[in-house]
Order: sequence, then C-alpha cells, then structure tokens
Amino acid sequence: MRKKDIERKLMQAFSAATPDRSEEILKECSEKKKGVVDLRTDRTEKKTGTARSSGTRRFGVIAVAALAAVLLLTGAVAGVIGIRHLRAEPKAASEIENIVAETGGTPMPSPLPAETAAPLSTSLPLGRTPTLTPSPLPAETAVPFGLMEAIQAAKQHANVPENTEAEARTAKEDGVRVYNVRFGSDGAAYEYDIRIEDGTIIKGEMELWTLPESAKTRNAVTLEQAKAIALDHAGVQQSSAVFSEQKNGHENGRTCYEIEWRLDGVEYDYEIDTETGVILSWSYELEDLKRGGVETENTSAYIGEETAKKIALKDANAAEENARFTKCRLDEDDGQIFYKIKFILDDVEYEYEIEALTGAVIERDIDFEELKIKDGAGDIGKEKAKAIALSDANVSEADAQSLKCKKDTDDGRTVYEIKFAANGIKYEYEIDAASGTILDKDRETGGEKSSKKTAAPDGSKSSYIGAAKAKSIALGDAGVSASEAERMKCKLETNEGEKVYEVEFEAGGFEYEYEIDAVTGKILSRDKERAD
Amino acid sequence: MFLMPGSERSGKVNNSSIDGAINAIRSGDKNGMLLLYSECAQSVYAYALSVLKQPHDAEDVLHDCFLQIWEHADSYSSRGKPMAWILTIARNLCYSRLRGQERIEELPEDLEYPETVEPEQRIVLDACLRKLDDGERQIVVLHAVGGLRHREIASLMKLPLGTVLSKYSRAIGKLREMLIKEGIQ
Repeated sequence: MRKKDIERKLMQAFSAATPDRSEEILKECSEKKKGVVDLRTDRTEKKTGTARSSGTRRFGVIAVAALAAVLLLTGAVAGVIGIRHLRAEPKAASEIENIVAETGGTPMPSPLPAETAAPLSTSLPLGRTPTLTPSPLPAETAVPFGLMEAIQAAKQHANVPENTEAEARTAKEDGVRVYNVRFGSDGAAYEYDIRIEDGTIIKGEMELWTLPESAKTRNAVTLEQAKAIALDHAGVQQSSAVFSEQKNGHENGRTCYEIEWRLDGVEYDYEIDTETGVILSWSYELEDLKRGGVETENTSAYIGEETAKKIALKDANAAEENARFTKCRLDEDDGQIFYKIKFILDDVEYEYEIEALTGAVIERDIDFEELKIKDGAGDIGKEKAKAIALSDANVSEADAQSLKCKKDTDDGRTVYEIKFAANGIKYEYEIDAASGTILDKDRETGGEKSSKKTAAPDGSKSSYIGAAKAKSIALGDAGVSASEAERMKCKLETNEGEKVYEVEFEAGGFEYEYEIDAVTGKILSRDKERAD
Repeated sequence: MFLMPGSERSGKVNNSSIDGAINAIRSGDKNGMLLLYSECAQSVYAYALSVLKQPHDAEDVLHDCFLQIWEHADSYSSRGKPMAWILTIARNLCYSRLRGQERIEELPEDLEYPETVEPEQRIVLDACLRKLDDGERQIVVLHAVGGLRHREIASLMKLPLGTVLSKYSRAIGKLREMLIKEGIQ
C-alpha cells in the first residue's frame, strides 16, 4: 500500500465523517453581517441591485460551491433573472403569460449584457410547437461524442453564453458512460449528463440560487398556474402530460409546488415558487439511460498510451530517454476512465493517472523514498554489509564483539541486520542489500538506547560537518546542482536530542526538505513535493 | 476554458481557490463562505478531531472556526497560504477548549461515526485516531487531509522540521501496518 493510497483513504474517511454545519453557519453569518439576501430568508438586500443567496445543494455541497467558484471566476454578479422565456405572442396576457413572458422592448433587469440574458431554448410561448425539446438530441451515428461537443450541447440546451465557464468529467450513470457537465449562469446552476456514445442528453438539471429582482413584484400562483408554467417551460402540451406528483414542498427555504410527470420516456420534475411562480428547479431525465445508445466499447476517442505517457513526462519535467516505463494501461475508477502510468527516473518512481478522453492529469505521485534500489544491483553480500556497518561505527572488525549478520526482508525490501558490540556499546544496523544504504542504526550505551546517535564510540564529541557539506549532501541526493537550486536554506537544529541540519531548496518545480545528521552527514529524512 | 478535476496538485487543497473565497467573504459574499466550507471543512474537522479526540467538540470547533473566518476575513493577508491561517484559527480554538477542561479526555470507546462513513473508512479513522500518538496523528492529518507542507506543519506545531518528517513517516508506516492487518489493500 503506497503512501499516496493511505493519504487518499484518510482524506476520504475524514470527508465522510465531517458533519455538514454549513446551513447553520451561513445563517449565523447572516445575523452577523446585515444586508445579504439568500433564498433561505426573506431579508431584503440593502445593497442596491444585488441579491445573493446561498442556496441548498441538490447535488451536494461540492456542486454549488463549485458553481460559486465558477461565478467568482466569471465575475458574474447575482441579481439577474434566473429563468426567462421567449417573447410572448402579442395578445391579451393572462396571469400566466405575465409571469412567463417578457414584454417586447422591456429590458431585462440584469447587469449582464443583453445578449447574455437570452431565454432557455426549451421554453416557448404558449401555443407554439417546441423547436427543441429536452429529450435526447438526435444521434445519427455511433461515433463517440467529443468532450467539447458535449459541453457545447449542454450550454446550447441551457441557452447560456458560449464563454460560460464549465466543469466536465467522464462518469458512469447506471452502467452508461457519460460526460458530466456543470456550469453556472445568471444565478442558476446547471448539470447535464451526456451519453458518450452518441451525445444524447440523458439528464439535465437546473437549480436556481439567486431569486430574480422581478420576483419581488410577482403574485402568488395556484397549483394549476404552476403546472402551466412548468409545462410551458418544457414545451409540453397540457393534454400530453400525465402527472405523477403535484404537491407542496420546500426548496431553498421557500414554499413551492413540486410537479412531476412522464412523457415519451422522459421524466420531468419541476419546483415552482408559490409566491412568485418562479421556477426554482427543473430536471429532465431519460427513464431508460441506455435507450438508443450503443453498447459497444469504443476506445477510439481516447488519447492513446503514447500521448498519455508524453503528458506524464511533461508534467514530471522529464525527458523520455531518461525514463523507464514500468506500467501503462487503461483503468477505471468510479466510472472515470484513465491511463495508469508508472515510470522510474533517477531512482524516483513516478505514478500518474491521465484522463483517457481529455488527457488531464487526475493524480500524480512521486515516491521519493521507496525506490532507492538500483536496477540489477543484486546483493552486496554479508561481508560488504558488515564492512559498511563497522565503518560507520568507526569500529574495526577485530574490535567488534559478537558480530552477527543476517539477511531479512523488511517492508518488501531485502536488508542485512547487523549487530555487534565494542567498547561497552552495542550497535545495530539495518543495511539495504541491494544498494548498501544504511537504513537504520541504533546504539546502546549502558542501557540507554539512542537511535542514530552521532557521537564517536569513545564518547568524545565529533565536530559537525558544516552547513556547506550538509547542503552538498542534500543536493547530491536530490540530483540537483548548486546552480539549479533556489531559495536554499540550511540551519542547525536539535531533533530529539541530536544535532541535525535542516536543508530546504527548490529546483525544477519541486520543493525539497532534508534532515541531515550534523556529525555523520547521514540523511535522516527527506521529502519532495511539487511546488505551488 | 473549463475546469478539470485533478488539475490541482495531487488532490490537496486548492490554495488559490481558498484565497478567492476569503476575498469574497471580505465583501460579505456568502457564496465565498460556501466555497470555503466545501474546500476546508474536512481539513478543519479532521484536525480538530485529531487534537480534541471528541467528535462533538471537534464539530463545535468546526462551527466556531468558520464563524471566526467570516468575522475576521479582513485580517487575512494573502500570501498564498490560506490553509495555514485557517488551521491556526482551528488550533487556537482547540487549545482554548483544552485549557477549559480539567483533563484531556480520551477517545470514547464507542465512537459513533455518521452513516455516511463506510465500514472500511471506519477502520481507517479508528486506526488514525486510536493507534497513533498525539503528534503523529495531528501531523498526518495536517498533511494528508489538511494539505499543509511539512514545514508549515512544523511552524504551526512549533516543532523542528525533521521531527515532523520523521513522525509523519512513522505514522504512515503504522497506518499501513494496521490497515494491512485489517485486510485493507
């Protein structure tokens, strides 16, 4: 089990155990700072022109927070109409038409440019035939849909600007491979699942998290009116729909009508605000996700092993000729397909997971500590191992008493365990069988055990190696030249009673940290991480 | 342009995203608070639990920590290390709480995890909370869950860097051994 695996398990376990106190915290934040509107309270925004909300999360905290990040990135300002509809026919307006239609020539109260306040492509004035229904896009061939095309299709369906920031990944829904696309626009959060085989939108959802300004002037609606709003938005004739549910509920702290129906294999789900008739959320979903799809495995859309390897090498800042690949294969985890790649470079093992369709680096792991065995090095032998231990302890073989050496396996690595005594001191060493590296050492003086003790056997204090030497040892170990190292630091510290040099530097996009025995120059610990 | 998962470093916290969230919080934007919570809640809770060893107390620290961030976001000076700032707040809250206790309470025998925690995850949590010593547990949580670098941990916990490195290494070794013993691969 690798260090990375353990770290990931810890993250996942603590994530699952972490309670969600966000609602309570946000509520208290409202009480501490006045003038912030959200969908959970009826407080009015005192700042002009802005309405902010926290919204609840249909897809979990992460989804809306991610969309909040999108909002921050795009610089969009809340306070625009969440749902708009195409212009109504010029006829006497009923109560419903007042709610659903825009009057010609009246600008939308939105801070965004007019062209971005376009209505949903699926919504139509009453009486018109839908030009685009929320049902699947027609698929002419079985060629896998590209990711960019999927994002484009999702944005077109939601009728949001082309430059809207979107997040996308491959996933699996009930055994069907999909692109999961998410984005936020005009105070609403959208999510789509698009079948990879043919680009069919098998699921689409919207959740409003900013109540539009115009809602303040609207009147309450009845259930019948709410149904009409939902059907109109979906472009469905009233007579065609068979309602499975019509009831009162709560969404984002507001009372709403929950309206569901099925038609032509599509399940529709709406929540309409009772006080204003605003659509708080909608979703469309194919009941049979595999309907119309192609059941064959098709890898032609994947980037290929060679490209995946190149991406990994580039990310590791490594040249292909210096790397030795030990693994490159397709793998799948939780519906996401990726290339699992491993290579060794300068005794460092690199492991990557590269998204199969997009080439994105999903994960990287650089195991600096685990691979120190030179390929084909073999075994140094007992005699050599003993010699290394004795030399380190500054004890001759003639002076060593009860010298023992045995071969063992520790954590998957073959080692020599060496024990001896000299001048009243007991020594224990663990030496890597392949490389001869001293992995561990202990010395015991009169019953007092101290690991990695650096004083000479006769008890006299040894002089320290000096900062320059310590830096040199660290650089050498890292394979970095002095000229390449940046922001180098070295200081003498005491760690558990022993004097050590702590050396830090950056090179090649990595941060290195070393702890070096101040007397012997032995590297006691090391760490290497990608710099921010 | 679109965001792809994994574009941040190795699943660790996204400091630039957190920086942005704190900036938004400064202007009273609760979307920023929501984003910050989603990015940091597990790190804060995990650290508080590693110090206090009591889930209810850790939950209270989680709550208080975010309220403090909301109130004092103006005092954060962006140097690209927001997690260190946040976890310092959490640490101070933890130690305030500990100072108010007569003795340090031990982890309950019958620790209850939420239903969202799967059986394997319970084993991982138990291994971390029960089998590591205080220093090892806090360091491993700060690094693996909190995303802090070793030297940031050394600064937070006022320990030498080498101590942090070796304790972390030891903690990982212990966890590996325990998880393998429990049949987790």
